Amino acid sequence: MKNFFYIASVFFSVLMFPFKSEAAELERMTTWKGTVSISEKITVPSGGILKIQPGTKVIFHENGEMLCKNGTLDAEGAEFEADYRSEKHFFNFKSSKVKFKDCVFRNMYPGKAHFSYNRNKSFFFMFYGSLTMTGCAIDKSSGIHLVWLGKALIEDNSFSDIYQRALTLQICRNSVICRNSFNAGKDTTETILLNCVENSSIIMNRFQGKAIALIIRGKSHHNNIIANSIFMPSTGIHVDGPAWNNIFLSNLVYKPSSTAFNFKESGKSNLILNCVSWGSEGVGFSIGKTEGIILRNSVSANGKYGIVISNNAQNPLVEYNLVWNNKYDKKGALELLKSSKNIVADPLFADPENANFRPRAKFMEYPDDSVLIGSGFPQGSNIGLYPGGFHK
Amino acid sequence: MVKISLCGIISFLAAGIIYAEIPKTPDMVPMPKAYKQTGGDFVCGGKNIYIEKGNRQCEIAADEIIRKIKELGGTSGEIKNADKTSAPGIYILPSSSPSAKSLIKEFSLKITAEDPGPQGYIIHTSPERLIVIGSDNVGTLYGAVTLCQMMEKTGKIVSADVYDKPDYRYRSQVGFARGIGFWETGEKDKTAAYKTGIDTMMRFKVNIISDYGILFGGEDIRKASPEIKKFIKEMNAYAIERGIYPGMWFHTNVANEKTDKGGDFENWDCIRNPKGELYCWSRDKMAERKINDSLDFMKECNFKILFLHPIDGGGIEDPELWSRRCKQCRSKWKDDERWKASVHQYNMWADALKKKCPDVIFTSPIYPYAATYGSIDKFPGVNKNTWKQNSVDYWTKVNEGLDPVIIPQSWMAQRSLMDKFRQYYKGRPLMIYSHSFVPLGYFGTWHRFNKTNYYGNPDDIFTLNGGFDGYEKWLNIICDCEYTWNTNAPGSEYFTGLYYDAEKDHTEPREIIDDWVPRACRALYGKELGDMIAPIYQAGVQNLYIMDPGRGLLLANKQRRAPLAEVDPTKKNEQSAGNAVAPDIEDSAARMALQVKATEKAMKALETAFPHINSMDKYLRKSFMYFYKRMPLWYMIARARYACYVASDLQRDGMYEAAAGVLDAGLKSFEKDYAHASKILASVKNEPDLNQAGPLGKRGGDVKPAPEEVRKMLNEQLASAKVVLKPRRPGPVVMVGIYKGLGAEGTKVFFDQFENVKAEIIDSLALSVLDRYDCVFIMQTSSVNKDDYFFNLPRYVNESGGGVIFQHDMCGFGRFAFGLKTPFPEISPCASGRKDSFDVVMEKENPVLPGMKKGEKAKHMYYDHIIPKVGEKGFAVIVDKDREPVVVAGTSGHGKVIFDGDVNITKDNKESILTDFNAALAKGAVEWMSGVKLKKK
Repeated sequence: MKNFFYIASVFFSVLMFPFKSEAAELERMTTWKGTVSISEKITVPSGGILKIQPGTKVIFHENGEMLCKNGTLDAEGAEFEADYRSEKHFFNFKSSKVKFKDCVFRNMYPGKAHFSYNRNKSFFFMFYGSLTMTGCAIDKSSGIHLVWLGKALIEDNSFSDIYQRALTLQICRNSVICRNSFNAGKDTTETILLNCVENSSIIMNRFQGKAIALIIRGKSHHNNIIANSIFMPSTGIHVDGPAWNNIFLSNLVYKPSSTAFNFKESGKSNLILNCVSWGSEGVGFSIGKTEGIILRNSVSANGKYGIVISNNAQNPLVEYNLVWNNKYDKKGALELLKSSKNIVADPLFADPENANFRPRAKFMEYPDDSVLIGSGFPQGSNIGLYPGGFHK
Repeated sequence: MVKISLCGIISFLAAGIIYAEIPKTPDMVPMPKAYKQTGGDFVCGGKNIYIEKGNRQCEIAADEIIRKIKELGGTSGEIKNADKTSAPGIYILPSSSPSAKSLIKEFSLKITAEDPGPQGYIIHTSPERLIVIGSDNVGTLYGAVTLCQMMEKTGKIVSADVYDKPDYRYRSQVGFARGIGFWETGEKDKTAAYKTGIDTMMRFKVNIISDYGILFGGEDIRKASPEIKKFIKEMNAYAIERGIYPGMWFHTNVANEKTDKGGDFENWDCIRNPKGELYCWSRDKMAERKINDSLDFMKECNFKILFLHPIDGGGIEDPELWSRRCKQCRSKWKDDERWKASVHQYNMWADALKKKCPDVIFTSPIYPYAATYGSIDKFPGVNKNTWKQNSVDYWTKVNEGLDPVIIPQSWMAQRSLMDKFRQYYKGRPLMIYSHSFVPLGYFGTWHRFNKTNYYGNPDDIFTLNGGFDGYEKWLNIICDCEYTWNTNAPGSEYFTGLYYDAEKDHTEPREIIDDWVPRACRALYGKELGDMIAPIYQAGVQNLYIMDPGRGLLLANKQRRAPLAEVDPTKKNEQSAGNAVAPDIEDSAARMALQVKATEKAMKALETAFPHINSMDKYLRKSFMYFYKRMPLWYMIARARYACYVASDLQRDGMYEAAAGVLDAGLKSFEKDYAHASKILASVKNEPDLNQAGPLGKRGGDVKPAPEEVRKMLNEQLASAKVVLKPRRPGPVVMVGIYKGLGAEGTKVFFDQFENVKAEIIDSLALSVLDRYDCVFIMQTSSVNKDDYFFNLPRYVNESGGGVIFQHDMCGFGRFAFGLKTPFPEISPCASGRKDSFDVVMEKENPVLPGMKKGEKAKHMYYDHIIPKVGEKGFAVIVDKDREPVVVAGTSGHGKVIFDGDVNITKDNKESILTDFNAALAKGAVEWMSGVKLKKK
């Protein structure tokens, strides 16, 4: 019995509030509960586990930061807040296993840029390891920067008023960013950056506000960018670099102040399917210096320019798209699109001004079927956001 | 009883002994007309071979026998002139030679120049002498070829008498460039490669070769360089010595605007086709030049068959576009005198041919060149006189005036139609042109129809023109030769309308697939390897279908919808050739599953055979490599497509989750299959196959889609499957419709507090109205249309993914207009009662109210609530103090439904902004249904 207490005190330390961290390194097994104030560098030891229980409030004061190398952090229902602006990352994880569930991060910015060439600053930096972040709210903070992660799941989180960029993934793979809500604030410039990311999925996220919603750079490949809704951004999706073999499927960019889908430069075989640009103040789909890009079953309507293909585009295949009512589309350009299996006609969306881009259909008691239904490729599929999910 | 049983046992044992002692029939392809074992063996090894020296066919035959004996591990004797016939040995002689006559007399053999006849032969075995005598020289060579196929290890044969002759004297066909030319891949010595191809033709008695044009970029012989001509000449001479007839196609055009310079071709007033070929019946000088050039080329290059094609077009109403002929032609021939023009034109060729190269066979598809045109029934809309003038009368008159050397052609037709066609060309042999279609697989059994138009005329010609894989063609060619040599070979059938049935022709009939294929494989690849390789051809692999199912089934169904469409010279109306003979093949997961199994079987066979490939010569090895490299890729594609097909079926049934699961598994299988295929390809990367570019070469690779595209295909469909899981997509603001009724105004005011919600009161439940909203509140009212309620709301939820909240009486309470019913009975079938109470409690945490913890209590605004029942797919969101449900929710189709027993008015029946539990539920419901968190202004 005596031995048990000894072991518990060494390996399992439960810290009740109020607690002010003083030790540089935590016990191997630590649980936080209540309010935890951090005013210096706290380190989870290699192989150590830090659990943060629901209701815990962690406050970073000046000089406070948290390091975890080869350790585990498991937080649920906790709140993290800072009362000062750090020059360092508040969270710095290396080769660790990190899990945040239903947590709130508030006023945690700006953090320094991890790499000198990257001017973006993040409060949360992670190098190698695995991250699961679900149901969290990141509010009035700087962003999250992930490098070389083999697996990351960022799901059902809400990012609001982020300083600079919300989420950076660099040299990551097998990651999933799903069903998050990104609300850009006045200091938000970009939302997500993928740099040399592979086999990852950006699915069903909602972006709102004037920032570039998604940037893809470097040799990013085999990523699935699917069913994202981007409302009133500056640019919707921006690809600039040798990214190749990525699929952009069923993404909506609604009233961007610039270009909706900007493929300024990209590598081979990127595929844009069933995407919609509505009300772009620039170009709906801009195809720049690309190789073998396919733009198919997509809609560009009610904007300034529908589809613009640069002379630098090598072997682009632009077919089965619909272009409509773009202010500066020239007749000759439209004729050229028509001659290569594209359609110039009113898409008859259900309620596009309210961002309802489902096609009108007689079975839904509209007077006419939208031309989008069954006009796509392959035969029988639809143009627009619902390739096969809009049944008669 | 005992006695009978003993007899039975003895008989059984005896039968067993007899069975065990009877040697199997050797692997002879084509099978001789008669083969009878005479007892004992004859060992060819070490025996001298006696021939007629100076007779090239005898010399080639002797070389073949020596080669075969060595291949089988035996030692050969010497080749000697057959001066005397008493010495032990192998005698290979034509019936005309004195030595053969001596042997015929000594052994009373039944053979003359006429019996069996041209290309026929006999084999007779005596204890010391093995005798092969041909009715002619080629027959002698063929006898030796058969003898080689009879040989077992060390060159031993089972003694037998053989009598053989072909049904069709000219049969099957091999492409020079796009046939044997594929064996040239990777070779420095192309001559040796072509010679091996010609030798292989000879060993299976295939004797027509054509398709040279590609060597000089088309059919205009003036493009052929002296080196090309020299090469063709040499190869054709080699082929002729081996009984093979090299043939060359020409057209009756008199000039070509691309090649001929100086003429006024821009203003050509007679017929011009899209290739720039210029036709005219009356410009004889131009015609003579073309004819002389063509025949000089044929003579120089040793061609033995002239195929001459007239103008192709116009159909039954305007054959050869006769109505468009020039003034000069019109002045010479009236509208009904096309036959005279044809006779004039053809006879010019025939006259020149007889002078320049009289031994050349002259055949033409005289337009119209389909026996089916002999029936007015095929042309219901055509004037009978027009039909008669342009078909049967034309044929009859042309036949009268045409030089006797000319052999007309027809596509293979039903026997009854060919009976008549032969009458119009009475006295002439015919050339039967087999249907030129594209099959889905690399081997098929349509050759069994070759008997259909065989009438016993040995001068008839049968050419194989279609049914090929792009590269590997040998087994089809050999099979076609079997069924032209032996038109009644087991499995033969009469053609009745459907020439190619993709559902059967790659796996049936059993006589071909089970019996003939292994025999032919043993004959082609060698005894041991042949058995291992046979499953590749028996499996029924449809490589074209696997790679491109859409195109594949289009090709297959074309045959079924309009069975003779591809052999109709008109080609303008597919119906003109007959009505559909079979229903369309529907593509399906089950069909692709068969291909997964077929390729798997073939792949296993290839892997089994692979360690033994050194027994093949380097050319045949390329054919093997063609399959060895591609089969794992075809298997990979078939498996990936199968996953896509299954997923599509599931998606059609609304099982999107399952579809995504299948595709996930498909992706994993794909990576495994791709790794296996890559390993195979890497292991034989230095082995050439039939395509220089290899299966996946960036330029010219023949396996499509490439693995990266297959992966993309799976990913795309996976993405699509996932997308349709949530067809609704709320915009920047969540649109909430509030169907007018009790509490509508208060509910709207409540939602007006949020910056990302737009709430509107609506008075219609038409689908087009519902479609504008992400979710709809159905407030208590009696003003509702039954169809809207029970038809539109389920469609809105299930198919469009909308959300609906029913309040109070609308939960199927008894006093509700439609009684104890709801549109979503699986979530809540009806209400069980009403209760006066404000209190509710969270019994179990759930996603509708994620902020409420278990046991948390609240009060709702109104003094009572309805108690909705929980259906089999529903769950209680909150309960009252008696643990009876107050709110029930569930998902239905793509959407979500809530039955809220409460009503959004105050306890004194007034409209008010929502408070308490009503406010929490309204917010939670919209967030749950739309997936969007509401933000207060």
